[in-house]
Amino acid sequence: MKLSDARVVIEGLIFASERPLTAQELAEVVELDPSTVESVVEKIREHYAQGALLIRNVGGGYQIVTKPELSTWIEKLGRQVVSAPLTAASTETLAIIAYQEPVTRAEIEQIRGVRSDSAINSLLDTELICEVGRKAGPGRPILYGVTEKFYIHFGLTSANELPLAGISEWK
Amino acid sequence: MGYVIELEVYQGPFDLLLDLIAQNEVDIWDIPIATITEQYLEYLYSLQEKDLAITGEFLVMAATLIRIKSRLLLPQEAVEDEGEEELEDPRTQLVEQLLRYKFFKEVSVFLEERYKEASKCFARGQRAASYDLTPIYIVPVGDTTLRELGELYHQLMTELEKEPPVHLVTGRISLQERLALVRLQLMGQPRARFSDLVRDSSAREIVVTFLAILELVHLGEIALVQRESLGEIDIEPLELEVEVQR
Repeated sequence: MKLSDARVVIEGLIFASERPLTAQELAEVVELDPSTVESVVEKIREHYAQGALLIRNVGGGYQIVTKPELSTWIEKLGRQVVSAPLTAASTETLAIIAYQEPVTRAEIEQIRGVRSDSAINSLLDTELICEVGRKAGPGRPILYGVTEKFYIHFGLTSANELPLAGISEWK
Repeated sequence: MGYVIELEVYQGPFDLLLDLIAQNEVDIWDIPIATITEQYLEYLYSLQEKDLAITGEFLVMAATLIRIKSRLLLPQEAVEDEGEEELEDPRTQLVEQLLRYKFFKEVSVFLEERYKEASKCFARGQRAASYDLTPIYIVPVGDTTLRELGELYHQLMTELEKEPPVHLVTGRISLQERLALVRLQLMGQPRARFSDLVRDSSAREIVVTFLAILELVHLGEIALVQRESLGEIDIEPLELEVEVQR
């Protein structure tokens, strides 16, 4: 595919997809290598500078979304910004899972110092975390990890984007 | 889901301790354990005064603090055995736990920020479906309205207020007997209500009656109609050819 066509096609693909598309996935469709796809996406981004949209990199994939400064207008449209009830307990638990995954409930509770089953359950219900397997050893406890939805909701590219400051103090 | 009541703003004993340490502006590596323990216990007493239950974790931490405090009070004998073994500060383990918790607490603040930011960007058509973070069980029993729940509650309560019938004879209730009885009660009726069948019955009788009507459904003698969940069960006898069968 010609590079000039690729820009339009890739933009169309990202727009049409229901979930974020990775450079790899795009590369397979347009038959270019992933690094080329990445540079094409950068081109689209430049192109978007003046417009209403931006390409967000979440969970390792690209997603077209409206710019944050439009949120007040979009809310007027009746599409409320969902600042869903993530409780402090849920967010703490989520933070631990994001760093320590795969992690068991007992390990989470050891860090938080309190029982965490209801926080874990509500995170499972909202699909921000999921069961990723079972730990070898007595009881074969369930291991939890974060989901793609977690990265989308928090606008994170990957776990590398989580802050590292202070981590050495206890690790 | 149950209601989550957070004690003041503290997520747990670690949270409370960190706050006390911050309030006292002390170095986390050199916690004045006596002061902190005292304040920690004060907080627990204040909870008790408000008649709030103190969860086990807070009590365990109280015990830990007191243990550390007492260990610090004991004269530290130079440990002869194993030479190089250094005298460990009894606070160290706790501090490490606190720091670890503190780290994740800070991350959760970061995540909250990101969450707020990210939710300002709208993906095409996605909001309704995958951005909906409302758990599905917000509506516990289908379309049951608050009003209906209220009525059910009222019904239950009136049932409970009735004097329980006194049973002097406790005999065995056979399914066969009950079957016959239910058939008798249904005879010539267009329909009957389950609650009428079991009026003034003991729990055991209710169970057997219920089994009996299930059996009758199985035999094709009756149909059961329940219009809303947990509502009245209506029993409707079907065509009478069955009488010949048994």
